Amino acid sequence: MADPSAALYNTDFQAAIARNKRHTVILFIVLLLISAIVGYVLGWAIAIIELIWNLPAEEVSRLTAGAVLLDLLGPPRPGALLGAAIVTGAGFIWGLITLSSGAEILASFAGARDANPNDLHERQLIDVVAEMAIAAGIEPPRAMVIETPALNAFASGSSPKHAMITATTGILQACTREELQAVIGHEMGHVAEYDVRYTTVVAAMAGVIVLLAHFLGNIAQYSLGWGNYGYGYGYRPSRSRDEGGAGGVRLLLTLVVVALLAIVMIVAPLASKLVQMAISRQREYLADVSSAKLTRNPVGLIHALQRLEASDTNIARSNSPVSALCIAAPKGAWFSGLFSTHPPIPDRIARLRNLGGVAMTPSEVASPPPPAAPDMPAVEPPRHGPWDTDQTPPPPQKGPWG
Amino acid sequence: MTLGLWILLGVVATLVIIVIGIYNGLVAGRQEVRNAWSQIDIQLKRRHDLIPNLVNAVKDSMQVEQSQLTAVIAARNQAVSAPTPADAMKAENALTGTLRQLFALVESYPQLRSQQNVSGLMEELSSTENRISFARQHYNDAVQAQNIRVASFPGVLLASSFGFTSETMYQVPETERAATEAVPDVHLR
Repeated sequence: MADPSAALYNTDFQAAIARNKRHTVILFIVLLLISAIVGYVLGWAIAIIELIWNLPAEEVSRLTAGAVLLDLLGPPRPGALLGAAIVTGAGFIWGLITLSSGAEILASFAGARDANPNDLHERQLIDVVAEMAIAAGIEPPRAMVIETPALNAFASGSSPKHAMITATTGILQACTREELQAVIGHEMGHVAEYDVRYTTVVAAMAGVIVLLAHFLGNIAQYSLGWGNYGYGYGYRPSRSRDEGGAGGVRLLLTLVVVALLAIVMIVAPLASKLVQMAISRQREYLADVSSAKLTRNPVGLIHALQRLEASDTNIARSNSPVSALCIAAPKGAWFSGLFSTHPPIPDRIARLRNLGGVAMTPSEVASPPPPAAPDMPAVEPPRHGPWDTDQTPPPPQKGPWG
Repeated sequence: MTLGLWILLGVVATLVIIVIGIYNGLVAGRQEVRNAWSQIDIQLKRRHDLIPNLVNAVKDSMQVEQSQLTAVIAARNQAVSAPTPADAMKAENALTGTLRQLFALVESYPQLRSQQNVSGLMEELSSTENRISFARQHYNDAVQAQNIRVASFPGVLLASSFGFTSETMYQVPETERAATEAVPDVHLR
């Protein structure tokens, strides 16, 4: 090993990256399982209701609600397996369709344009994107700009070749070059780790479950409306085969199955949304580690995150599709931690500091360095002393907007 | 009998696929290392092209620093015309040192910094400096990944028979480290 300290950082990065990827895989499997369970229960419910209404009357009257529900855990019915396959497959296919529809949509949705190389701030963005692409060993993504005082940046594009990195004019003006490098490193991490694909497929899979639940909810409402007039769950009353109380039993058993289905359809979208957001947060941690790996300078990202947290202007659209790929969760959102696309910033800072055992003075943790004048960029990323705490740039002579 | 044959066939097919996968991984890793190395050269070339522009832009305002400017140009020409890779590396490292001093000097001329072409050139050159070091960093990352691939299971079983050896890291020479750590020679006026 040429440089023992570099080897140490690498080990830390590799371990952190491997851990985050493992978490993503586990969560992805959980999401697949939720899809499969939803499809299975739905397919089973359709099969069993059909069975209930087609069995001879004397057999139906011997059935109990418990026996019907236990059938769910019994040997799988073909309909149930088919349902599981359809719902899981639909998520995948929807995800692929969304992916193929391209990245331009996402960036143009947010009102982004190409960075202008004649503007010094935007020139710096283009350069920093190129630098981070070299560090990551990928083609430089297109550097884009959104005109807004909000501080944010995001990545889009389904593969590194077609990727774009968009920054707001606010973040370009507020951050030092070192911080901008860290922020772009974070976005480059999203690009290099194919997070756009991940996010799209995961969102589509969770979306299928939510949509399905919504759809079934509507059907149930519609059918119950009919039910009030004495018709059971969409079935015609003209079942002349019914004798004795069999019709009532059929209706009752159907309602039991529908109730179970309703519970699944209420819980599943919630659970899949939770898993989706948990995956998103894992990818954020991963992108943070990637940024530290690319810049070899976690302090830059720590300062940038502190600055983001301290800023009171932020992109207002909290649930816009770009949210999961921003550097920080858009502010103004009421959602709590569980439903957030991003982990809390103090948590991310804590992890970054653990990454290399960053020792910072309390005052430095409390206040990020002042915004840099854009005209004198840092010559070189700190290489042998990434944890040096005296890297803070000098105070600007003219103020940030001067 | 036939079942046994099928199982054997399946095992052989799986093994072949695994070997192909390992081989392709090793080839891709070696290619990545080569690409990373050529990226360093690209960025060094970019630096050579940019330096004359910056020197031309600042030379009128920096009359008193002519010696520094000639030193940068001399170091640049030496790096361009270096006959062997080893010489080139030495010359590039010397160039990094003199450039850094020039940067520090330009910073001490506020009227220069405010000129748009100078600040643009400074941005471009310092970005190139960053790109050079990031390209070296990526090269080392690629070398490290390839060396792990070659030395660890299962790659180690096949690497030597396919002729894959461990690659050499780029090492920052002592002279450049000294130059990086040295306090730049800034004249305050």
